[in-house]
Amino acid sequence: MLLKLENISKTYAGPRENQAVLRGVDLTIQAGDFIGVTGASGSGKTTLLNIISFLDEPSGGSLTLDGESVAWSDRDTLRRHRRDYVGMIFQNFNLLPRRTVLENVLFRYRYIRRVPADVRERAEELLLRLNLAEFCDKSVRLLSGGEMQRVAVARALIHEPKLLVADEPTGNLDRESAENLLQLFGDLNREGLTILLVTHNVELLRFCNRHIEYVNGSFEERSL
Amino acid sequence: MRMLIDIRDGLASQPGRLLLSLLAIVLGVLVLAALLCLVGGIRQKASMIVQELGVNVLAVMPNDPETPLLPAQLDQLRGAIPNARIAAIKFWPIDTRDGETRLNVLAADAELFAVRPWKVIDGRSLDPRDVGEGQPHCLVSRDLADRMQWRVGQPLGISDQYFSIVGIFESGSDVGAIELAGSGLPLGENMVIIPATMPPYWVKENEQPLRSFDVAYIKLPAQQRIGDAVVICRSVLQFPSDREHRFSYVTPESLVANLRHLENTVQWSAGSLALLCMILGGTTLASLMIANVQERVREIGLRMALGAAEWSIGALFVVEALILTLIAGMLGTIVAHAVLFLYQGDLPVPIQLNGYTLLAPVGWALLFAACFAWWPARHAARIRPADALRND
Repeated sequence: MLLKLENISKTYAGPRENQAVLRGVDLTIQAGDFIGVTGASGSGKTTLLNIISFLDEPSGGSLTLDGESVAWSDRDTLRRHRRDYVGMIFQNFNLLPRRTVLENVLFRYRYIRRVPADVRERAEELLLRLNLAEFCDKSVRLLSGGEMQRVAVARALIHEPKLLVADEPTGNLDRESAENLLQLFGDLNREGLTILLVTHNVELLRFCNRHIEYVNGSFEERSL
Repeated sequence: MRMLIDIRDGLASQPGRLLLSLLAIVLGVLVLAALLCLVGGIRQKASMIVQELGVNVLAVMPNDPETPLLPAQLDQLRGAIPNARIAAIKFWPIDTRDGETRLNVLAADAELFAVRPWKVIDGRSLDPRDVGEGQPHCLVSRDLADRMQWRVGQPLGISDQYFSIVGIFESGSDVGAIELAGSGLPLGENMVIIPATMPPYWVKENEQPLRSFDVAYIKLPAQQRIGDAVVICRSVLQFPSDREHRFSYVTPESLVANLRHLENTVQWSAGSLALLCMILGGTTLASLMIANVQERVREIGLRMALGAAEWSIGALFVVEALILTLIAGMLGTIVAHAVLFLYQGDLPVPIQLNGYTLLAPVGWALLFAACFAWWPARHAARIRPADALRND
């Protein structure tokens, strides 16, 4: 078991009353899972992903990572989990526009003291695999949407995370680019990478091996 | 290096505000540098005056040109303060024959160099024979000798009279400070000293040898207090019937007090302006930083998602502000020093240019920048990564 969420809740303070987005979510993620998460807009999918990625803190419940309970008050540990354990992909790529493709991929190492000696070779290999080798030293502003998202994938994978979290990664891509990206995810999953994918597009669930759907404030497992 | 690239990217994101902030900081530092140069100059001048006049030297000057200081009154002073050395001078501003240089001609007796701490650096001083016989000999100040390339032994024509240069003396940078402060006479540069007994018919036709003086310098023995000497001088020179003081008494303390007053005025007026400019610069910088943080919220979220610590996000913006301030500050202080260096001769106030006046404004600007950038940096560091990365 990689990750276990027990009775996770999240409430946002509203102008008049508090708004409960997650109510008692239980979820277990095993190593090698490729989970597709669906649900209506604003249902709390991204909130769940943020909690799993240690970007946000739940209002209640517990999260166990590799058998150890996560202490949300320990900011330094949360920071290290974000840095080492998770790879994140966003709908709008979140690339640094003034940097080159390679600089974006290696940006994570800006916050790591001991940078592995072979990190540049690894980045180049990764970009080669993602068909981006020719863009290595080009500014990301010159790339298409699909290429930008592949740069974001390379950035999320460069440190070999245990869990890849993708929040609507195909939201800004055309159909062909979305298919290619999901095929890549499938390949990575077959190589052992655990993936959590939030999507609106139920067609893409065929690449997943598990499906959970947001229903009435909680997530329920669905068969594929 | 990575930090510098981050900062380059950050500053490039707001070019308009960046330029405004640069201008405001340059202006603030420029005014502060000018203030420090002025205050430093005034302080330096105060200490020079004490050195120049001599610690225990008193200058006596008539308030009214119609009632000058007479030789008989000097003799009375010599009798009243027996251990003091007294030198008297008369002063004329006279143009050289080519009309290009104004000479400050001082007619003095042989005691002058014993009373004033001026040093003869080439040749000799005026001796009792020069003064006693009214020899056409003169000493010139070093600044004048250097500029005009005059040497000992050369003749020097003043009006229709030729003098032989017998010595060159070091007058300090402002040998006439006492004259300036006390009697409105010009600064001591371009000084030519001639014997007091030399008939000054070249000043005024049929003028007789000196019968009156503009200033008397009195050097007191170390144990005698200047205040006591002033009381004695007053009792000797003032008639009981006089309603007003006929003479002014200038001491190092009175000159320094005048300069302190000037220093205070400069400090309050220019200091307030400098403070305002620094606050303006700081506010513009804070506004740039706030805009920068708002512009880069997603980037901040990304950095946090990739493992950046809160302090490193805050440090990014503080260092950004400091580097911008360092560049603008250096520019401001260099411009201020260049302008003051070029025009210091034309300024009515003394100026001091040194390492302190060059570096201190930049230091102050950096301190201001750190204070004004602190809040935006703290705000950036406290952004929650989940909020920063929201799609909307």
